Amino acid sequence: MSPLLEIRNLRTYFRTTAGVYRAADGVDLSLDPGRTLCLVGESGSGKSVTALSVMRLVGVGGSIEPGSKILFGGRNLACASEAEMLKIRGHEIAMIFQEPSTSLDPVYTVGYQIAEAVRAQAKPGQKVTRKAALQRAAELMRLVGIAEPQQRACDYPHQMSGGMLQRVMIAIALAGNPRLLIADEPTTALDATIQAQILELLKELQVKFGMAILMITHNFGVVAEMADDVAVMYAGRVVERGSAASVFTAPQHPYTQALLRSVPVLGMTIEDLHAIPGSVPSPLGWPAGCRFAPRCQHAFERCRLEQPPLTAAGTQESACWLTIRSLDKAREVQH
Amino acid sequence: MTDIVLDAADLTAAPVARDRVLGRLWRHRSGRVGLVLLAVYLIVAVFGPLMVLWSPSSDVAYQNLFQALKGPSAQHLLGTDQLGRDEMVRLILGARYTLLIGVGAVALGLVVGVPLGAVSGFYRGWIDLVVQRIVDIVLAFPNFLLALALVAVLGPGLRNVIIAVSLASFPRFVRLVRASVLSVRERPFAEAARAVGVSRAGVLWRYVVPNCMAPVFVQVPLEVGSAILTAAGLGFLGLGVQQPTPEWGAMLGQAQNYIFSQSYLVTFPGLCILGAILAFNLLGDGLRDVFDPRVRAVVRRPKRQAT
Amino acid sequence: MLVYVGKRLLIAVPTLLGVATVSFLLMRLIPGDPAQVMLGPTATAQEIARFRVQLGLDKPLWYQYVHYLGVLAQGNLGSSATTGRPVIDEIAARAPYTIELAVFALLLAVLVGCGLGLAAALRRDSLTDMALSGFSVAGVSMPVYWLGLLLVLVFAVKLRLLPAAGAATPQSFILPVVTLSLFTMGFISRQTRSALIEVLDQDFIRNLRAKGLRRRSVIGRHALRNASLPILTVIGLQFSQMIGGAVLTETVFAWPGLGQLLVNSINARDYVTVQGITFVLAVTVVMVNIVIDILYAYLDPRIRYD
Repeated sequence: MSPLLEIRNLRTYFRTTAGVYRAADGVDLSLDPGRTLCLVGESGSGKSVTALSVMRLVGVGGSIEPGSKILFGGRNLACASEAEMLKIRGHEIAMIFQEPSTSLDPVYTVGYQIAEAVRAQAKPGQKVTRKAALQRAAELMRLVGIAEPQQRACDYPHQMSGGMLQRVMIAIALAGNPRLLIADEPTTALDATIQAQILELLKELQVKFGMAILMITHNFGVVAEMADDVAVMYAGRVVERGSAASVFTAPQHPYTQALLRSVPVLGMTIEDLHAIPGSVPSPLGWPAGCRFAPRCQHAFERCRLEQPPLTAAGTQESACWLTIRSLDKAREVQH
Repeated sequence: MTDIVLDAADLTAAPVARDRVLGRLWRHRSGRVGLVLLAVYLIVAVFGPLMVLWSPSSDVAYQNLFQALKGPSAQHLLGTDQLGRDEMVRLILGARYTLLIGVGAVALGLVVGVPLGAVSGFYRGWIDLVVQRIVDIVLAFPNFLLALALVAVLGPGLRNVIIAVSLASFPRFVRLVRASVLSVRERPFAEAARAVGVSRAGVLWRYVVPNCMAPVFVQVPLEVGSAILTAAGLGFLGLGVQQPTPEWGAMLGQAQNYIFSQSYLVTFPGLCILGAILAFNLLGDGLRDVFDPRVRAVVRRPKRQAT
Repeated sequence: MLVYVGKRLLIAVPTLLGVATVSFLLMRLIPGDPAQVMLGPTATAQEIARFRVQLGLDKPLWYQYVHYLGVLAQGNLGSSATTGRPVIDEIAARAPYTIELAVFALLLAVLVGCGLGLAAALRRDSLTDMALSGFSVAGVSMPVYWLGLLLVLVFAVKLRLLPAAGAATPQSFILPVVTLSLFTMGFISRQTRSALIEVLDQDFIRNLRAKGLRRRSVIGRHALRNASLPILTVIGLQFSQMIGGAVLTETVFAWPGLGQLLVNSINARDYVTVQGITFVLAVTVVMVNIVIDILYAYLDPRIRYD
């Protein structure tokens, strides 16, 4: 089965007065239809920029560098025209965002905004009347679990809670029946109980509509709940990827290992807390060689000189010279 | 939108000390122009009268009707006015009045407005209500109209113009300072000062107010520009500084009578007024950007890239 | 919504009262004897005495104040010291000219100003933006009386295309309106630009594009609607500014409106008329601001449904 979305060597740079900000610098991802890929990483790792690059909504000042490939539906989205992207956004790929309270236009009702999405997703030539669009909006609201959709449709965003607003966002995303849903930390700004509800909803809808989900998160609980596959990002690159099961049980990359170790567990004491020493370097000046090397316990000479490529290691891939070194050794032994 | 907002760690920015504001203002496009213009005006206002002592027109009572209404020539670079006085000399002399009125009116507005706003925002209660009402009522009148009415009843002249014009700026300062004080008084350091035994008044004047002055400083040049505009308007109507003292607005008002024949009399005083107001407005804009806490370092590319 | 309107009107009452009080005090600020000042040096002692009684200046201050408020509520602004006619009649005769001038100038300023601001916001940091910036700064720095004179110089004196003064022909309308509108145009274009930029930076704008809307719809249907709120506030403030500008514009162009009457009255020391016009203009500004506040509340659902 060929992947629904394949990202190869995505580089998104921002040219600023302080230098070139390499937010995404060589991202490799692959997502199969109907599956959920969780993109994990700290702030500043480039996760959101990657998602926005897929939608080509990076914002003024940022540009996707030539040589980047975002393969979807037989096209390279990185160099698609705006007209082509208009057909993709909402219809084939939809996106929901982190902060529900600022996600909607405050001067229009939620019903209007969902209906607007419905009408925007109509096939060319097909006229959707206002009434029909509002009907469909009410249906979508029911689908995402909003009670009394007819009444709720007349509410304004400021009258709704965070959880409800996120459901509205999901309804909007579903209006065009997309094949891929990108969710950029959709539950981070919500209360814990609401978080669980929203994640449940997403899983339900995924099964019902056969959507693939690319979920961005920094929360391993969410990953555990949602992911079929995982990709770990650090300093603008993917450093490890594979199925969620294998990455969780046998992480290959030192960064992944350190991340998993640093997640606090009930019952731990303060001595047990593992922080990763040092801090993330600035996207204005990535270090030469492996970007995690300055903070890595196992770093050796080669790590500081060359950037390791993503290499297959068992069922997953890892960008680490250790992995490559042990693979080489294993191959030597075989001969 | 994903604009990159760089923090201090990304830029090699030095800490903002008071003397650096001037430097940053200089680097700001319009701030620089404003500073240069202002410098020119200041030099003319201060040294101008000394530089034109050689000309008989430097005496305000001078008249020479034989030389009246002559166009620009080698002898009188900008021509002469209806009483035969050298226009350029009078313009140079007029600089100090314009600046004096502008700065004086705003200074008065500050002296009245800042304490009122501070007290109003800090102590709240009935004094706040009263001050707020007064400010609302003063602001209900169109700025120029109020100044005009005041000068009309009080009589023309330098002192009355300054009072009338300052009435427009003090409410704005009251509101600015009050808003700042309302938020600053909640900050921990204000509470801490009380805990150490500083009196309420001490907390207000020694701690809170100094931290509220930044938006006031930004507003000052804009207010001076506005004051000059109003004052020159009053002069234009003949209600400002009285003849024969040279004041740009009044000169412009007189020039209206000769617009069909001696159009140069209209051009130059107006240009001087425009320049002065422009200088202060640009300065104000520059200061506002310099004090803006968000440093946006994204360069927008003119051509659309593959975004 | 009705509650908001009610509250807003209620708040206006003390303000209107304050405006009336200030108008009342204006007369009392006149140095010396107001009656004598108004009648001039040629008046006899009897005329002055009679006028004093007519003005009510012989009564105690509080009585004068209450009396003033009373007649004001009946729409009586006194009689002109120069013509003797009721001030309210003089104002009614000239008001249409000033209203005409102000309304059209405001319309022009809003239409052109918003258009320029929109263009600048969409082409941020380009040459167009910088040119527009320069134009706005020049616009708000330009004294309205000088602009008027310059336009007269160019169009009436040199080119002889338009009349220099008066309200005789339809063309005499053009220069005064353009002159009066420029300051507000500059101001509104700056405010439109920054309001739009602020709106365009918000999250929901990006989200609207993510759901497949074209830029045009996003800007037209959403950005402008959101930006119209702060712009509306600015328009309210600018109306006040424009009234002051109208006084000067009418002087430059000899436009027969309230501004010209005001200046003439000041020169003639007719303080009754001065007081009357000041009051009427201030009340107009207060009313317009109330209307704008209500309009704002209507447009912003966050205020409407509180």
